Amino acid sequence: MFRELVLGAAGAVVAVCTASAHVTLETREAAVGAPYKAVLRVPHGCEGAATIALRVRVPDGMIAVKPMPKPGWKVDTVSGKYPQAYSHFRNAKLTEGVTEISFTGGNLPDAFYDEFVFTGFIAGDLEAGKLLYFPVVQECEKGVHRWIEIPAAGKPASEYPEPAPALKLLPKM
Amino acid sequence: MTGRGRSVVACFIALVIALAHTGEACAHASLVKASPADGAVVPVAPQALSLTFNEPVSPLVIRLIGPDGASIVPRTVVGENNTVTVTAPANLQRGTHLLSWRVISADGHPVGGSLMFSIGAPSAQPAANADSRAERGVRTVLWAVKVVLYVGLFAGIGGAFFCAWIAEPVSRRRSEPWLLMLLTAGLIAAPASVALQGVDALDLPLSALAHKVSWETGLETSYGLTAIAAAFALFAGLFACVAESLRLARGLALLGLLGVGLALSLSGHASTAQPQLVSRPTLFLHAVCVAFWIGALLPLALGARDAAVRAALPAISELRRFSNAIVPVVVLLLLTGLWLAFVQLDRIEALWTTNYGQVLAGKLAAVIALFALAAANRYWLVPKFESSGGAAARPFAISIAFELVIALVILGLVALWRFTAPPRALAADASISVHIHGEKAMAEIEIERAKQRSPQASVLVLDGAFQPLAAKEVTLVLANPAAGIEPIRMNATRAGANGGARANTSTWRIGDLRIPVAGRWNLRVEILISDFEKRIIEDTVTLPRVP
Repeated sequence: MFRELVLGAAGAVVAVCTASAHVTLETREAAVGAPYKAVLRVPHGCEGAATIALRVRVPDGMIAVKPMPKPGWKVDTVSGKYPQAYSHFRNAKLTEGVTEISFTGGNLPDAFYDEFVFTGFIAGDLEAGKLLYFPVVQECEKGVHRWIEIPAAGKPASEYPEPAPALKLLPKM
Repeated sequence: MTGRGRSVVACFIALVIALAHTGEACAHASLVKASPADGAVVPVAPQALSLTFNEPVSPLVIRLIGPDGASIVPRTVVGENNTVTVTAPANLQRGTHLLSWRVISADGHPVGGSLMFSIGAPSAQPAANADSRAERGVRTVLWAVKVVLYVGLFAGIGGAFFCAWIAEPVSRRRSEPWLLMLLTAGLIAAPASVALQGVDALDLPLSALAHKVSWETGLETSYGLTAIAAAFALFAGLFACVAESLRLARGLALLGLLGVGLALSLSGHASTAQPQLVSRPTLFLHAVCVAFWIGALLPLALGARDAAVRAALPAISELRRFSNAIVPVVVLLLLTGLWLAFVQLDRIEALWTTNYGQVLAGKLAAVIALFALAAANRYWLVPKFESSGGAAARPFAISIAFELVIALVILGLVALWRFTAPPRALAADASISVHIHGEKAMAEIEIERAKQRSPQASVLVLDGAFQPLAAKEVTLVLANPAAGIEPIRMNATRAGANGGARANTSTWRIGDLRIPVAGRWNLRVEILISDFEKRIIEDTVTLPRVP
C-alpha cells in the first residue's frame, strides 16, 4: 500500500513537472467526435530571449479550426486540403481547412508566461487511445525552440528535449 | 480492506500530493550564458568557469575532461541565484577541454549538457611519431602476445601436423610435451590479443585490459574473427597431439592446419587487398605452407638431436618423407609470397621508404637466409646424415636449430606488420566511420583525423530507401553516461556552403568534432526536414578517443 502510494505520487509529480517545463497543451485529453479548445502554454523563451512568434501545425484530424484573436499579436492561418475527408456533424464532411496557425509580432519576455488559444473539432474518424501531436515552433529574438519531437514507439516523451505537445484521444462520448 | 479498495485510497492520496505540487512553478532550466563560452579559445587558463541559467539551479555533477582524456570533478562548485561557479583546478593543460554539467532546478527536473573550450589553441591531432609512452607499452605487449600466438599457430599446429602425418611414433612421443606447451601458450595468447587489440584500437592505457569495452571492441574488429579461428585451430592441434588413434590425430591435425590458413586470411592488411577474391585464398595457402614447414622444424631438430646418441634410423626415414613433401610446399610458398608482396607494394622503393616495406625487406632477408640454410641441409648435411648416420647428426641438429631461430625472427617481423600500413593504404588517412539508421532516415558519419589539425566530421543523411535526404538542419548529439559526460550538441553546416559549386543538401560537416574519452557513446542524429518535422535516429556506438 505504502509502495503504491509513493509510486503513484512520484509518477504524478513527475508527469506534472516535466510536462510544464515545455510548451504544452492545458487540456491533454479529448474525446473523438467532439469540439476541443486547445490552449498552448508557453512558460519561457529561448535561453533567456523573449518569444516573438509562435507557429502551430494543426494535426490531421483536428478540423474546423479557428484561432482566438490575441491583443498585441498578429494572427494568421494557412489553409489547405486535408489528407482525407473527415466527418464533422451529422453527414457533413470536411476536406479542407486551417492547417497552420501563426502568432507573430508580439513580445513575450522570458520572465513572463502566456497562453495561445484556438478551437476546433476532433474528427470522429480518429482512433481513440492514440496521441495527436501539435508541433509548435517558438521563435525568439535570439534562437528558436522547435517543440516538434515525436517520441519513437515505446519511448517516453520525457526522454526528448523538445517534445511536441500531445493530446490523448478518448472514446466517443 | 480489499485490494481494490487499497488502490483507490492510494490513488486518492497520490492525487492529493500531486495537486499540492502543481502550485509550484515547474519550469525548464536552460543555459543562457557560459564563461568561457562554448567553442571559445582563451589565451590563459581561466580561474573560474561560470554557467548562467534562466532560473535558480543547484549543481549536481560538474566534470572537466582535459585534452589527455583525464576526467576531473572540481571540488569547489557554488550555485548562487541563476549562476553556477566552478573554481577551475590549478594548472589546466593547453588544448581543448570539455565541461560536462548536470544541474537540477526548483521543480526537481535535472538538465544536463556539455560545452567545449580551448586554452591557448584547440588541440591538434598528434603527429604519428609522437606516440605516448602508454601507447608504446600497449604496442610492445601486443606485439609479444602476437608472436606467442604465431608460434603456437605455426610451430604448434604445424608440429602437430608433422607428428600425425610424417613423423615416426617415437618422434611423436618425443615432440608431444613441447607441442602441448606451444599450443597452450597460443591458447592463452589468442584471447589476450583480442583485448589488447581493443585497447590499442581505443587508444587506452594497458590498465584498461580489464574493461569490458576493450574486449567488445577487439571482438568487433575483423581481428576478432581471426582470434576465434585461431583458438579453434589451436584446440584441434591440442587434441591431435593427445589423440590415441592415428586416424583421429591426422584428421584433427589437418583441421588445425587449415584453421591456421583461415585465421590468417580473415584479417590483416593482405587479406583486405583488392581483389579480395584472390588475396584471401593466396594468404590462406601461404599460411598453410608456412605452418607445414615451420611445424616440421621442431620435431626434426629433436629427432636429429636424439639420433646423435641413439638409433638414427627413424629420424632418417621421417626426414626422407619430409624432403619429398616439402618441394611442392616451398614452390607454393614462394609463389604466394611473391604475389602478396607484389600486391602490397605499389613500387619497389617502398621496400626501403615505408615502414611496411622495411619490415617486408627484413622478412625477405630472413627468408633468403632460411632458404640458404635449408638448401645446405638438403644437398649437403642430409645426404651425409643418411650415409654416415649418427655421427653426422650433430651438425644437422645445429643447422635445424638455426632454421628454427630464423623462423622465430620471421614471425617476430610479421607480427610487426600490425603496426604499419601497406603503401597502398597509406594514402587514406586514419578515419572512423559510423553508420546509424532508423526507419525513416539513416546517417553515415565519417570522422577524419588529419594530423596537426582539428578533427572534422562529415555527415551524409539518407532516407529509409538510401536516397539523399534534403535537410534544413542537422545536429549531432553525443553522450557517454558511463563516463559521466552529458550530451554534447554539435550543429552541422552544409558541406560546400562556402562556395562549393556542387552544394549537396544531404552532406553536412562538423568543423571541430572531439570525442574526449574512448568508449560506448550514445549517438543521436537530429535531422530537421521542415519547420514541423524532425527525424531522430540514435544508436550506441564504440568510438576511440579523438582528442
